[in-house]
Amino acid sequence: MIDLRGLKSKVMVAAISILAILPFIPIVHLFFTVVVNGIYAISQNFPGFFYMERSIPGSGVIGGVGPYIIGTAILVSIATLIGVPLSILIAIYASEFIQSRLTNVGDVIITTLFEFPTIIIGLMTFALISVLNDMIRIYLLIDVELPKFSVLSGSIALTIVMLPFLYVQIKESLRSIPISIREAAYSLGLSRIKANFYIFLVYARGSIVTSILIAISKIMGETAPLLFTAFGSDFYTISDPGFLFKPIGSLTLAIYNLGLSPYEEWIATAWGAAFILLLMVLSLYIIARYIARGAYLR
Amino acid sequence: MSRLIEHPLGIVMLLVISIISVMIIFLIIQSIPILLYRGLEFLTTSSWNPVKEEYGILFALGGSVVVGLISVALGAVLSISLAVFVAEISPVRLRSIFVTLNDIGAAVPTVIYGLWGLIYLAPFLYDYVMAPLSTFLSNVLGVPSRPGTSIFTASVLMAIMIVPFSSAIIREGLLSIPTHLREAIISIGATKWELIWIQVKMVKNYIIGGLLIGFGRAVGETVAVAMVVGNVIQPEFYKIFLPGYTVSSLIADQYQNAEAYTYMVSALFAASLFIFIVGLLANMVGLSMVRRK
Repeated sequence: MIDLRGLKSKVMVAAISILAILPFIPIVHLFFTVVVNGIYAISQNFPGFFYMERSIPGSGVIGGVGPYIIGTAILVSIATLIGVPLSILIAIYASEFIQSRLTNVGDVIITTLFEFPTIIIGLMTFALISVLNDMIRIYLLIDVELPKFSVLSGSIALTIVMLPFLYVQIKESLRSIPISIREAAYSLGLSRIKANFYIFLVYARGSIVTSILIAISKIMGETAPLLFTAFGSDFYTISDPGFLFKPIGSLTLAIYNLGLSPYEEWIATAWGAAFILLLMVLSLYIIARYIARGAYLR
Repeated sequence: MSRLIEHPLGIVMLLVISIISVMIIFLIIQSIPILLYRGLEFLTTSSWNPVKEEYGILFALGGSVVVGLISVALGAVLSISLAVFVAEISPVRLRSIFVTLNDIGAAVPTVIYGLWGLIYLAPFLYDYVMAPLSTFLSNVLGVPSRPGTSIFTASVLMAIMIVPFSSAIIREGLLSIPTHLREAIISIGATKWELIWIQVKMVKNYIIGGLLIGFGRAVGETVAVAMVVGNVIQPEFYKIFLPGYTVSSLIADQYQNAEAYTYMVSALFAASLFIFIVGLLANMVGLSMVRRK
């Protein structure tokens, strides 16, 4: 007699295995093409690729991505400098005052932004600055315009992208600290702030550093929130003393704009930029994973 | 009766909450002018003519919904299979390799997916899927054109991009099933497939939640879609082999000249409210499904 149930089981398991392997094919292919095309583009103009500006289309020369690397570095650094302390402070509050009404409201509003379409965050930043400008003009009657397209607004947008992720992660790390450690800390007579900064944050440092690194790798790869804020620029702007109030480019914006251009040199430049970006994002990610593993083993 | 702020740190929390709320309110304020100016026509017509200040975003709304639905339909099969495979079929030693590869797929910046989709996926889909199928389905699906950027291409790319996310959520559900339940199922003589099927039914919430979050991502994703969707005003958005627009790709494509026209900024903001609402619902319902025990 044929084992129909067994046969069906074997067929289905085989089908699931094939369907499960399928999504890895594009991911592996993507890696392969980014590495091959990226290294090829960079080797055409090495080491100029890392500091030159983009080339003139039709010149046959592959330019560089210098201004974009600087732009990404500046935007991500400012966002991290604002976002990390801010999220640590609100996470401490939320982990200390679990019952507080403020925590409940904050939880709802901040976790709503978690995994939220990031283009909205760019638009929200743009809207904030536009409305503030209107208010300044109408109520203060002075002719001052906050720059809508600037390094600062780009950094604000990236801060808001990283804030919910960091808040949720750090809050969870702090809440998972054993009650015995908490009691021990408070029995020493430490204030809430001191107990958190000297003991709890240090105790949970592994998982907190991991979440910070992952948050940085996340915002480094963001494009959509920068469209309406940092706007993009193809040239070095840092020599300008007021560059914080001027538009700035980033690796992601460059990949988007150059990749969609019809010029071969620019598309090659986009691949080079993609390779550099992928390398940066994944190294952060792998370091974060490594630290996380160490934190659990401890 | 507790005080609102128990501790000085509460001021920081209050500040963050107020900034975010203010931003959401301003987002809505910015979209009011176009809604007053165009009324319901803004949602029910397909036109985008900044010179005449005529805006109707039906084509983009349709494009977003179509991309979201197709990518979730494709992604559902793949992500459930992947989650089941990792949790139940693959050798335990290989499990961490698949999980890592999956997580790395989720960590790749979306704009890189977009570049890859534009240069490799779109021509591939044109040659092997769209061109052959359109020889007898062109009435329904439209006639594709090189280089293959279309609503269909965007849907396939989004399916590839949401599988790592959805499958991670479903896998989490599968791995949270208590061992004694698995043992009980095996002990009554269930085959491997029956064991899998029973467990899949047990994690229904995770599957729906994961797919809803995937839908939210597909609708909200901007640059990757903008690079492969073609960016053409396409009133027949259901003809998926034709290039089109989604709401987010419309915003990404038009932002550079938005300020030159009176109502265009407002139109883009009003369009973004759609992504906002979809993102909100997908997130809240999706996360609550996953968290429900």
